[in-house]
Amino acid sequence: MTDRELTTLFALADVEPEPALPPGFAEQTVAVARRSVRRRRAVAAFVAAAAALVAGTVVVAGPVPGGGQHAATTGGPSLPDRFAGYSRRTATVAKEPPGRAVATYTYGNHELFRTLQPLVVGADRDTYRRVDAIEERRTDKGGYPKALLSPDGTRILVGDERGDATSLVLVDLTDGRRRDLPVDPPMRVRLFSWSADGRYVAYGRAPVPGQSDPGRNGTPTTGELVILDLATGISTRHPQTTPVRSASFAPDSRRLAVQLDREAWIVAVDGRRQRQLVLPPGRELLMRYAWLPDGALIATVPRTEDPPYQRWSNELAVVDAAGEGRMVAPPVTVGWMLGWRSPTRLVTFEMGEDAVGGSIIEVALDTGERRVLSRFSDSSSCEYGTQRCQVGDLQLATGLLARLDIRPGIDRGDRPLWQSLAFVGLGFVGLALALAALLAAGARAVRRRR
Amino acid sequence: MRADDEREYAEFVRGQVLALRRTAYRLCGDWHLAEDLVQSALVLLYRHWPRVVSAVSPHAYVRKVLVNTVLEERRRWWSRRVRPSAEPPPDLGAACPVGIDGRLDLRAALAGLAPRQRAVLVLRYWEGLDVAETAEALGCSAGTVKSQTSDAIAALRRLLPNYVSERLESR
Repeated sequence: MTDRELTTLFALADVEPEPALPPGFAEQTVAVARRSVRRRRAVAAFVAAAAALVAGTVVVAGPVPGGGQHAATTGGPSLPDRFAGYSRRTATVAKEPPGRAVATYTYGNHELFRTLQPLVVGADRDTYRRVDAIEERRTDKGGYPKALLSPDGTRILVGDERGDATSLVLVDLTDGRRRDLPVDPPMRVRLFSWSADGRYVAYGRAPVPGQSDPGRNGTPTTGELVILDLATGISTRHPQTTPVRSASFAPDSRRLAVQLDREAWIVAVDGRRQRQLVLPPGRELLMRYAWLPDGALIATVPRTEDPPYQRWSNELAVVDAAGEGRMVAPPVTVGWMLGWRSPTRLVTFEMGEDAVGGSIIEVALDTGERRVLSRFSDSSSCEYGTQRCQVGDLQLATGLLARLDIRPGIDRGDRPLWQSLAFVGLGFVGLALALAALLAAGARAVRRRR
Repeated sequence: MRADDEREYAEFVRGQVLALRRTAYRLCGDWHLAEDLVQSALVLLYRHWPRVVSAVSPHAYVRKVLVNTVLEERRRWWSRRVRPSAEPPPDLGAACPVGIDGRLDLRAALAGLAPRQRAVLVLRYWEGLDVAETAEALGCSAGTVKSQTSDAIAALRRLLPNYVSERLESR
């Protein structure tokens, strides 16, 4: 075909009359164009306003909460100078193992939505993880089982005081692996102390509620001493060491200070009683942290009829472990005990006002000097911005305390209520815009097909 | 847009709308669809009218927009599923298209071409554009226009064998 042939061919196909334009087509086109421009301007203005609002909110609110934010690592183990705020998006230990931890605690609130989280925070960087092994043993009433953090911060042992578990769960925080350690028959287990060398764990086992010792508020006040050897996984019962209220491993990991009902004893790791401790009248061994790092002194607190679990306030008196129970210094009142940095410096947690938030404080026994090491936020970022956050079951990795540095913490929460509502509102607006765009596209498609 | 510009735009629309609709019809083969496509192209022109009218020829610009709109519409899934014209009949090549039958056969053959092949034939041989103008309307190079023209003619020859020689020889 030549160009001329083609031109002729098309010219022949063009002789039929064209249909008339719809009436007012040109005017209608101008009106449609005008509306189109106005609509585009309105959408652009709305998007710009929404973007400005989001940008402003993010700037005011700081970084969006998340589980994977890390601060710069430091040389040795360190504690954040402030703990991160509450975040629902915190990853679990199983999914993203955090490495060695400097602390474990529960954080949140469970007044309405039960948003309490059992957490660990990294010893080398700001890595926050939910301990899913604890979460999985949550009861219908919302309570978590107690757990114990190893002195070097690499493992967590999850116990169960309620008697409905047949095993302890050992979680390796460096790789997320778990190991079940059987408890046969099922008993209520109270975890007392982890030896400094990491090999042994002392715990008490007691009958389940409704049997011989119903306990107080579900927590047994007595039981028999059990030493768990983590090298073999074997738990050795010591029925003669009963009724045991608390136990603390000595710094040499070969002995324990054990508080029985009315007596205190030094017990070898194989269960043999070595000698009785003489304590001042009306006092008993401090739960879990009775030994001072020098191994020569023992910490005592006033005896109560309640289970000698962690107390929010302790009138601490240090006595000579080898003598006649003589107090070496006047008693000093401290908060929730977290361990010892040196024979003269202890670390304690003091709850904030209205039982929310709080601070980790180093106290010098000899001078009474106090230094705040870290803080927990008491903001209303829990329960979807409706409740203030509470701290519970706080423990530090005691083997890291002596050389613990303080690092700058991250802020991954503390979002005020108005910002939460703003984010929710923007989400709805975005959803509405997306829906409108979808409907408009569908309508255009239908018009085109017609 | 200022009132003067809008008045000028409205005059342009009134003056060009029929020619534009004819071009659109030749490109798509459906009068109703052609009206929609022309309106879409003119709406786009409205957004850029002040710049277009001062810098380039509005007619060339809107023709380019129209061709792009047609090709864009052809790419949409419902356009590929719903064809505005019937497929060429199997014995099309044996027929000798004269009058109405011939026009229908040519349009059916055009409907069987790829969109850009159809566009290049329509612009060059129906609209009377040269290679450079066609290249500008299609947004491609002159070489591409030439190669696509060659491919389109070959495809048209396969769809209408003997058509041209018999038709033209009879004239």
